[in-house]
Amino acid sequence: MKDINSEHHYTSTGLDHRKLLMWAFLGSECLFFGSLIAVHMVNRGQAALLHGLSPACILDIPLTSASTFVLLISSVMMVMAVAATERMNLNQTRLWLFMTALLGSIFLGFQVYEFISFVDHGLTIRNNLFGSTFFTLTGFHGAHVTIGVIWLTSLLVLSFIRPSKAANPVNVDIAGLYWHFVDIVWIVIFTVVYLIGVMELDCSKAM
Amino acid sequence: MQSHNQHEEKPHPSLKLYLGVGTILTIVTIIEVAVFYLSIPGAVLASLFIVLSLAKFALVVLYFMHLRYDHRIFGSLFTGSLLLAMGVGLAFLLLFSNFDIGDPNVSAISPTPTPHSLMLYDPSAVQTVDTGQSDGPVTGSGVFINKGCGGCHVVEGMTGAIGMVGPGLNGLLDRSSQRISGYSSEEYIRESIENPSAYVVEGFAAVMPELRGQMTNEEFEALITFLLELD
Repeated sequence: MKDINSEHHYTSTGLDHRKLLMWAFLGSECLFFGSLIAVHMVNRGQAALLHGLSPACILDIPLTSASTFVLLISSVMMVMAVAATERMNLNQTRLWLFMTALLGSIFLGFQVYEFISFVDHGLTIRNNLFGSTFFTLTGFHGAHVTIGVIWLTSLLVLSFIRPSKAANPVNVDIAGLYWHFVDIVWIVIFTVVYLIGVMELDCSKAM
Repeated sequence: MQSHNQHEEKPHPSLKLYLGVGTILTIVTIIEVAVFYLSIPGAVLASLFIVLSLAKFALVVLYFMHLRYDHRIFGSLFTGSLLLAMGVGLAFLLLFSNFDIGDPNVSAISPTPTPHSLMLYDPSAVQTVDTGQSDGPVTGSGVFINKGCGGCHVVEGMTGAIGMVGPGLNGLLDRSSQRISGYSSEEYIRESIENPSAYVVEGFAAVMPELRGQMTNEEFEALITFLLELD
């Protein structure tokens, strides 16, 4: 417990400055992803056709609904981890951290599968404006998920090496904020890029 | 000290509440996907999607990220940036598109799909070249210019055929018979237009749009003849 106390410094706001920093960072991330989403929305309607169809026809709604669900559940696992650290329950913290990282990895698996199948269908980052903006946006999101998985895994490993440090609620809390943010970015991407992007398209011709 | 701080704030939600929020998020996602497959007019559907996703967004931020229970300064930092981001995004959309949220299908019926990511290409400049498009007989060179081929392919001595994005087309007859074994020049050229990404010449990107659908059969045949005769 001494470990925890010695880490908490006085701040003028009385708030943990690491948490404040995380919120400021997430604010800047809003601008980052907001710009990428806007660029995709502006350009997708003008992209060259792919096999005679709008390139958005390549998007697979059932598959992406499944991956969206996986990421959503990972967010629930993450709050369980945060709640467990607040109860100082180390074993449960480990369990939920593991589940969150596992579901995050499954989401990444879906994304890798999706990217490969798109490239197989002839949509790459360089041959179509839809592809350029789509892969840039979802690629950056995937990179964020990857960083999150690494972060959570590190916390999990740390919990075995230095339990007192991993049990510090702020450490898990900050990782949780980041993870939830990555989830809400996906909520927006799923709605704007996938659902709204595909609706009303005539994709009857087989890709 | 940290736990001391938290006691001063409102207590964090219970596990039950977390699971409740998680269930609501799941149900909303299921509704979104279900509604997607119903035939609802685009504008209504788009608004519904935006409202539902904003609700999910707010639920995660307020409960999972504890913003509802946390210090105001966190909320101000995040909400301020979020509003700024939404403003920038909206301004960008209004500036650079015709705001086609309700009608993304426009792209599928747009008359000239263009390799617009390549700024060398300016279809309006190319299409001002007078080639007797309106009344005269269909000529291969006319089709070539009108469909904007010259924006990406060089043909020596031809006005407007100056693009460097795709391979130059002089001497195509000889070269094209070598491209794919078993294909004659004509077969190769036909496929290159009908399905541009089937074979892409080394050193070039697969960016050629599918323009076959924009031509009549007569125009297509005239174009093939024109390409075979280039020397």
